[in-house]
Amino acid sequence: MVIIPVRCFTCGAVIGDKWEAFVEGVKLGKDPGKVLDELGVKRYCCRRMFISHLDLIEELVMYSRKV
Amino acid sequence: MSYSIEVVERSGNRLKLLFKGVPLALLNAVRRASIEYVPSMAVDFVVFNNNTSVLHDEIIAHRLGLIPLNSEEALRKYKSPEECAGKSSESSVECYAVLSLHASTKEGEIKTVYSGDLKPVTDPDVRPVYEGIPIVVLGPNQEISLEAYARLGRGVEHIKWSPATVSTVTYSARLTIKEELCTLCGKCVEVCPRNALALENGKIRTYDERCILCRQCVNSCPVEAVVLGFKEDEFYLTIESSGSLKPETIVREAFKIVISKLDKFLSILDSIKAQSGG
Ligand code: SF4
Ligand code: SF4
Ligand SMILES: [Zn+2]
Repeated sequence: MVIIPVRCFTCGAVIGDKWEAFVEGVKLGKDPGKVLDELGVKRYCCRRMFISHLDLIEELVMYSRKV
Repeated sequence: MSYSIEVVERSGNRLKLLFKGVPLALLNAVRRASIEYVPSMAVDFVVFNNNTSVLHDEIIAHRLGLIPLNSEEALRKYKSPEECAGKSSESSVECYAVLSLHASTKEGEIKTVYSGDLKPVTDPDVRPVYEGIPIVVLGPNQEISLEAYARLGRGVEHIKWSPATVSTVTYSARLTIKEELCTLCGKCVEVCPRNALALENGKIRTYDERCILCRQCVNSCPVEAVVLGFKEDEFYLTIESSGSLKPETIVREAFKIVISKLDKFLSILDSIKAQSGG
C-alpha cells in the first residue's frame, strides 16, 4: 500500500501510530514477531497489516508534481 | 433474580467483565449497541484549502475520519446525531467541532504529517487520541491545508463512529475429564494453548477460567475423555475501545441505549393496548 492504513482492515484497531516503531525495531535486527508483541499488537489480523505493508509513499513523493 | 458482575481484566483500552445470572440475549444486545449505537466523535467532512500531496483529497478525508477523537467530554457537550441531522456545520457549534491541519515543505524537504498535527480549533477537548498516526507524507515543496468538521455519530451510520474495536460475548467453559477413561497420556495438556489443563498428582487438573473454548483438547484425546461444556448462566463481555471512549463508558452507554430502546418498545405496546380499548 502507499501509506500505512490508520486502522486494521479486519478489526478496526488503530495500528498507524505503531508503524514507525515497528520499522525501527526491525531495522535494529529484532524479530518482527517480537517487536509486534512489544507493541501490544496481539491479533493476527492486525499483525498482518504490519508484515505485509510496504510504504510506497516515500518513493512516490519524489515523482510528484511541482507546485 | 440475583446477578453479579466481576471485572476480570482492565488494562489499556480493554475491559473484560464476567456476568453471572444475566441473560445471554441481553448481553448480546449490549454487545451490539457498543459497536453500532454508542456515539463518539469522528471527522464528518473536510474542507480543503490546498492539497498538493500525492494523496487525493478523498483518501486524506477518509484517513482523518478513522483517527479516533477524544469523546468523553463530547458525549455531554454535543447534540446527538439525530438532532444534528441536516444542520449545517458552520452554524452549529452544538453539533460540530472544528479541527485544522496546516503543513508545508521547503525545497528538498520530506516530511510526515501526523495525527498530532491535526489541531483543535473550536474545542480543545476534541482532539486526536493518538499523536503518531501518519496522515500523509509531503514531498519537497508541497502543502496541505484543511479544516475538518467532527460530530457525534453512531457506528450504524459509518464504522468510524464506533467506539469499540472489539465487542464480544463469550461462553464460560466447564471442563470435565472422564477419569475412568483417561489414560494420562498427556496429549490434551500438550495441545492446550492456554495451559487450562495440567497433569497434577496423577490426574488431569482443569482450569476453566483459562480456557478459550478452542476444542483442541477434545479433538486430540484418543479416548474421548475430555468433555467441554458451558456454564448456563455465566458469560464474558469483552470490550476493546478505539481510544475515543473508555471501555467502561462504552458499556455504560450501551446499557443505557438498550434500556431506552426497551422503554420505547413498552410505550409502543401501551399505545397499541390503549387503541384497542384494552
Ligand atoms: S478447549 Fe482449548 S483452551 Fe480449552 S482446555 Fe481445551 S485445548 Fe485448552
Ligand atoms: S488426552 Fe485424553 S486420555 Fe490423554 S491425558 Fe488428556 S484426557 Fe487423558
Ligand atoms: Zn486487527
